Amino acid sequence: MNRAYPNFKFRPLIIAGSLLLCAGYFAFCSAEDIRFEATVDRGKVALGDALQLNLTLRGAENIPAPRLDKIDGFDSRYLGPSTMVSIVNGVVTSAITHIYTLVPLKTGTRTIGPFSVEKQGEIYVSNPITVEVIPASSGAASGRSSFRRQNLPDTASPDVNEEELQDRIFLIFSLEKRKIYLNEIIPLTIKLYVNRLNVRDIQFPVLGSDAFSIGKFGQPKQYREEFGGALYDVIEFTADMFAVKPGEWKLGPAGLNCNLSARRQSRRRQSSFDDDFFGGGFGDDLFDDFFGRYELYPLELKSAELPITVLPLPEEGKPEGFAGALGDFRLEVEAAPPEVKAGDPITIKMTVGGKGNFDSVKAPALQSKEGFKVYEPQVKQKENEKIFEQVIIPDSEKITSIPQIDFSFFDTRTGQYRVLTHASIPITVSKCEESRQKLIELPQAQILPALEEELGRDIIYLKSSPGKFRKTGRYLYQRAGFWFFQVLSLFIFAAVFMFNLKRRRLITDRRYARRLQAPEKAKRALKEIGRLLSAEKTGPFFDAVFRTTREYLSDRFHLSAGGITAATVEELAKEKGISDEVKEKIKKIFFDCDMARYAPSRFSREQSEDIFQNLKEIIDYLEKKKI
Amino acid sequence: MINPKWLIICNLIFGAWRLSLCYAGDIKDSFYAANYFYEHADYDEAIKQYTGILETGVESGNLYYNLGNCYFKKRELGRAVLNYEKARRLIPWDRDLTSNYEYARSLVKNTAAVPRRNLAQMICGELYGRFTIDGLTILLSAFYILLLFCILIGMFYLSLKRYALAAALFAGLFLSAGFVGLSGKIARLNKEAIVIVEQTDAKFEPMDKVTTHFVLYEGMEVEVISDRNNWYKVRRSDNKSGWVENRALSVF
Repeated sequence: MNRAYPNFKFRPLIIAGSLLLCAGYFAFCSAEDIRFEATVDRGKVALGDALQLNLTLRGAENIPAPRLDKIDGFDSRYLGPSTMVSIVNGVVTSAITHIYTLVPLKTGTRTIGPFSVEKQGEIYVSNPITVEVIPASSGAASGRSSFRRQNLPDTASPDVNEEELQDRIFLIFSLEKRKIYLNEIIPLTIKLYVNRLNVRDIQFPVLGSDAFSIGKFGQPKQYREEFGGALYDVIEFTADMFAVKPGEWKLGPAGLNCNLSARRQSRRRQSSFDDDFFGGGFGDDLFDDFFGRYELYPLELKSAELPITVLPLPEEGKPEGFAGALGDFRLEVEAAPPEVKAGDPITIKMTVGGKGNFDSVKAPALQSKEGFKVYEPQVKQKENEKIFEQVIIPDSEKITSIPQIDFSFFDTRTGQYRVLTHASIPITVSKCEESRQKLIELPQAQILPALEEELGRDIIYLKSSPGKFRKTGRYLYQRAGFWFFQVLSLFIFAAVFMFNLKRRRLITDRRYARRLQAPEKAKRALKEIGRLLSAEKTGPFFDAVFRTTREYLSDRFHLSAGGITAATVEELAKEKGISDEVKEKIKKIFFDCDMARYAPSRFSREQSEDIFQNLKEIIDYLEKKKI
Repeated sequence: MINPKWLIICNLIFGAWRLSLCYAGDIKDSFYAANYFYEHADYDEAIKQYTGILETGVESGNLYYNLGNCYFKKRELGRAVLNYEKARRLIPWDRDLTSNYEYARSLVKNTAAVPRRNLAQMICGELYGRFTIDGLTILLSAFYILLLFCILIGMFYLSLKRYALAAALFAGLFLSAGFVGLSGKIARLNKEAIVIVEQTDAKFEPMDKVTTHFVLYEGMEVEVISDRNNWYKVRRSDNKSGWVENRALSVF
């Protein structure tokens, strides 16, 4: 078989040739004419401001910066080159841009260039550029004014001054008009202009005034605007306001706080505030922040005050029924249902739409309410309209239309009162059903039909006083004090109950009562005996001892006092388990008391004291002993 | 010479009392401001003021009544009934409230058949419905003290023993009955709910795509049996039960 492959020895030639063809193809594709362009970043520049001049050579790389001859009216400085290579749809383009800063020295219209550059023997010439140099901005009529800077960097270049910063960041406060009517709503605008500065943490502006009511500022808009020949980044804040007092007033100044991000001064930079070569007006240099090369300086900007004249509404031409509405409105009226029975409700929906102060808009009025029961309207407010729904009830079937509806307002555009009228609305009112009749009988009178009254139904009005407030979710049964009171009551009850039981027992149980009273009686008696002993009244002493011993024993053991003798003590001791010692003491007391009856002088004081002591011991013993 | 410690304590107590007066004054101002907004048909602002008072942690029957009126005017029947129910817990004897509450309930759509109550249930319902929880608590406490007192009288004065015991018996009965009522009221706290959306389905299971058992309308009252995730198991007045989404109910 004959294969169509080339001979081996020609293969290197074929490969080399293919490569050359590819290179040639790319060379062909990439080949382009060299073009030399000159551009500036703006066509108008203020005296003292810097202008950026870009000299771009397209289709070339590695071309040295063209030398700029002295440009009339400008001071120039070379910043550096920037190269770019791109391949789009197989087409390779390259360009080198040399960047210069030009600072105008005189006002007027100036021509920059043309510039020329040589490459491989060819001279390429750029286009000339016309730039208008205007005097340094003095501030807009609407209130561009001062700012207060705080703590600018110490390393600021001597080139940075307050005037330069004032031209690069300022606040302008403006109103739609300077003469307004009382309660007329007008928009106010506060714009923050920033030129090639890093500003962050911008707060909403603050504007206070006693004579005006100022609404909340909405979401701000951000855009670029040329102002005084320079391009600014603008943040626009808008809000609505209206005057609450007539007279001549000054509104403002508006204030705005923000932070200025300034780079720490380096040799390459003109000023700390100039943008990075690759940065933008509000841009953040994340890496610089990260490495701490930026610092924040708080700025407080203030606009100028604006004089405003607030006119009261004119009395002349004020229509009857004018309720204070201000703006430019339209009126739409609907009524439903168009066919009703007498006594049935009809709802009139009145929509007031347009532009103005809707707070001042009150419900349109019926020209006449005769033949109707009219209720207060319900109000709903939307963004640009206010809806009033009013219920009316025709009294009888003779009603054929809803009267004309009027709405008057003061048109702030024309400065005149206007009355919007909606023609009467035809309706059909049919007779209501015969009321149910009840016959009542009156004595000696004719039978009269009684009409059943139909009553309306609605909710009863508000409570005018708040009543007694209490803590939400806290009830009495959850309080410790409540339960303490209940438990205390129970304790008191139990104490009284026990007391009564004891009292009753003392009455009914004689033995118990005597037993309980015995020690008290003995105590009192012992006290008397002690006194007699101290007084050395031997006779009464022994009498008292004898009596006390006998009474105590009889009370203690529920015996007859007369039955207690020395002999009965023996039996008592055996019966009650009294110890022999105590028994002997009791018997001795009786014996001694008997002896003392006949020979009281026989006993010395010591002996009397012994007897007294014995008696006490007997009583103590018997009290402690559980018999 | 007055001990300075006592002087400081007295000043603190006085200061706290004055502060409480100021605080009470602020709340009243908010109440009156809300009334003002209601009179000018600004119901949203009135609701905001009333709700602001509730957020301070205090409540009153009149406050809930007025709030119910605001919601009624706004045609939010569910929330109106809800606030009337809350007011009924605090001022159940108020006639205006009863009138508004009954009117609002009469507007509730398609009320489920209410099972007949027996005589005892009706009496108990009427009786206990007239009392607040705190009122019933105080009443029970009074019966309890009366019971103890009657027992003591019977013990000390034998001639009055018969009457004292009879009075103690009645006090005991009322105490028991009142205790049952109070327990019932407390048990129902946070177990009752009102439907606050226009209409919601009660399902067999706490999931969206399951069969609907029955429908609940705005203003209907239900009993909450249990909850799971974002669902409540509720029982209607006719003892039907089903699962309803949390957002459709407001528990009170």
